[in-house]
Amino acid sequence: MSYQNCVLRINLAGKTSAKEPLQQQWAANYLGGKGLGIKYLYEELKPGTDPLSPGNKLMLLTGPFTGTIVPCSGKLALIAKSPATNTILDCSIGGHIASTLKYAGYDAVIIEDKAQEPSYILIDNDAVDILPAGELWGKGSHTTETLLLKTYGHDAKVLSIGPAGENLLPMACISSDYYRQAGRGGIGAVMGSKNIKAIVVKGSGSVAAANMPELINKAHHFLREDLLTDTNLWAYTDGTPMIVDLAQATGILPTNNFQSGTFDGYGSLNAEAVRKTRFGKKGCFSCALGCGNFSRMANTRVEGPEYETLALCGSNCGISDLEAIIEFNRLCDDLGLDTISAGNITAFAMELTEKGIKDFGMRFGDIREYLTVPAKLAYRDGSGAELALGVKELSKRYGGSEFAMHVKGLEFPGYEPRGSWGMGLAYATADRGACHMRSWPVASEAFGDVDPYTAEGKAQLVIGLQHYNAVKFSTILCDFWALSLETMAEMLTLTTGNETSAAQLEEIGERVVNIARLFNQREGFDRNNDTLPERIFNEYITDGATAGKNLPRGDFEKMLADYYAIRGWDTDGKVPGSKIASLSL
Amino acid sequence: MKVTVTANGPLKKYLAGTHTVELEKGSDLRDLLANLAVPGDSVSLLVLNGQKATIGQELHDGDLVTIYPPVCGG
Repeated sequence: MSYQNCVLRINLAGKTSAKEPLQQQWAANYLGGKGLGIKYLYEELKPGTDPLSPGNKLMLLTGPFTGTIVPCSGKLALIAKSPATNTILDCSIGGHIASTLKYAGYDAVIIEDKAQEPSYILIDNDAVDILPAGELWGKGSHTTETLLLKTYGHDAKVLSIGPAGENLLPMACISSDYYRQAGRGGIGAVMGSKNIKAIVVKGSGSVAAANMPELINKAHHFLREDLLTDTNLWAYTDGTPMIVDLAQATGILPTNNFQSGTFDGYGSLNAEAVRKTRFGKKGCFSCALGCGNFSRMANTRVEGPEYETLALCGSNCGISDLEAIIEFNRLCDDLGLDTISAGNITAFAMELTEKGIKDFGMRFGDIREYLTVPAKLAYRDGSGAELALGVKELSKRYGGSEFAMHVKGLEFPGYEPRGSWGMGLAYATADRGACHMRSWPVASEAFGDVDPYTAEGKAQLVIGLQHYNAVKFSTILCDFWALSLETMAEMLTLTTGNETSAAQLEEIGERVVNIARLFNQREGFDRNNDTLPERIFNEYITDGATAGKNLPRGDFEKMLADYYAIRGWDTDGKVPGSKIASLSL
Repeated sequence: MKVTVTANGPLKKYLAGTHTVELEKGSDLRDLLANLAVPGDSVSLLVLNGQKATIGQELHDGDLVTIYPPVCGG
């Protein structure tokens, strides 16, 4: 139970749709969300498919917790092959769309081929239509959502792209609830390449749980005793801006394109500074933490800014003006841009300019030029036509690859790996490129007691975290509830009716990481791609708490070798047949 | 000696605002935490004069201490 046992398959070229049964064995092995979506895409997608061609598929996945009373279960997984990296890509979006899709009767939606004209998809319970986008095409995400809600009512939920997705940028995102994103890897460009401007969902059904009375009891118990505790309440009191203070104190706050880990202007964009601008809070469906902050300054407002935006679009660009960062954030949200990648390309362009390699007319700390970047990117206008390439491709064109901060083509999130070596391994081995959402060893290294400057034990640390996040994002739960696998297993047993243990969840986590790796392997990825920019190995952080630190290549290679060995992969980083069999991939 | 302590996030419910604590010379962060009504499990990161500190680190007159809760995810 707690599944709808129904997948909606939409063919855009033929304007047809059909329901099919959920693959039960796959659901048992991968649960839902991230894991199940990757399994479906692995089975259905032809290797070598161009991610922006009609052959790519865009999959929306709910999980067994979606639409139930389980706290923090309001996320939707989106899966495709990534235009930024050519790896597997799974994103996670909050808001209220996931439960609505499940109430419409679907575990998953698989979107195939390409519409003949700019269109939007309407899923109203059983009824599915593909309608002309008309005047919506060309509009920002915010106006698009407003117009669609006006047409379909506020019980409808909307996924939309902005001009960045329409123009197929590798850093285009998909938005929902105005200010929530499926952010990374160009997922918005996949939707744009299918000529789909928006997906509107209405759902008036329900989700059954196997043991409803006990689930309600347990959910309330865990809400009080496990969720709303000092471990998780940082998300409510401050939200992610708190991480600015932690990163600054530990010297891992990206500054001036990852030249430093400490930013003089941090006090203007930390938790206290953001709290002063706050005029409201926001949460997702089923969430009691309500991490969202509405921030307002004289001429702009946004839900946010989140830590990643404060770091990559703030300190990393040398910008300490919070109003400018809020405006940059708002522009990115409306235009449909991933702020992590947008901040990175801006910082990269600033360093290329300052070093005299290529003049993009931008310098660290220069607000005026900085604020022109989102529109330039989204419309590929002026220098935006080149900036839109992303740091990897832009560095191939002009140089500076040593400080093009990406892995596999996906730009770095907000944690300096030279100050937290496990994070370097995490970035290098994450399935979709440099990502902090597959494992976050920063919590125990930089912010905890584990020595950040040793290779010892880091492979085991990263592997454990990767398994935990992989299974969590398959059930689907939000990152911000630090629950145990035992608690997760207890709730799964009550929702699905299948007796589940923490050990089984650990195995599912391993399976999900391996199916993602197999997908990438089939696309030609191996050990050569599990690496970091030269800056991390050969340059030393310039000042602050981590002054003088680098991540020596020898230590990185040791962490990577340990990682492959513990995982049972070969020395090329490939999943052997024996592992495929033992995990029933 | 006197040190100034600030709590962050949900820890503010134990320690609102900024507090000055009197300690004996030679005291460390462990001694300081023992003086505060903040549960040990709820403290994840200790910052002393703007930099990460360890629990056994000795304090001096005029030190600024900030205490942080655990943070999961980013």
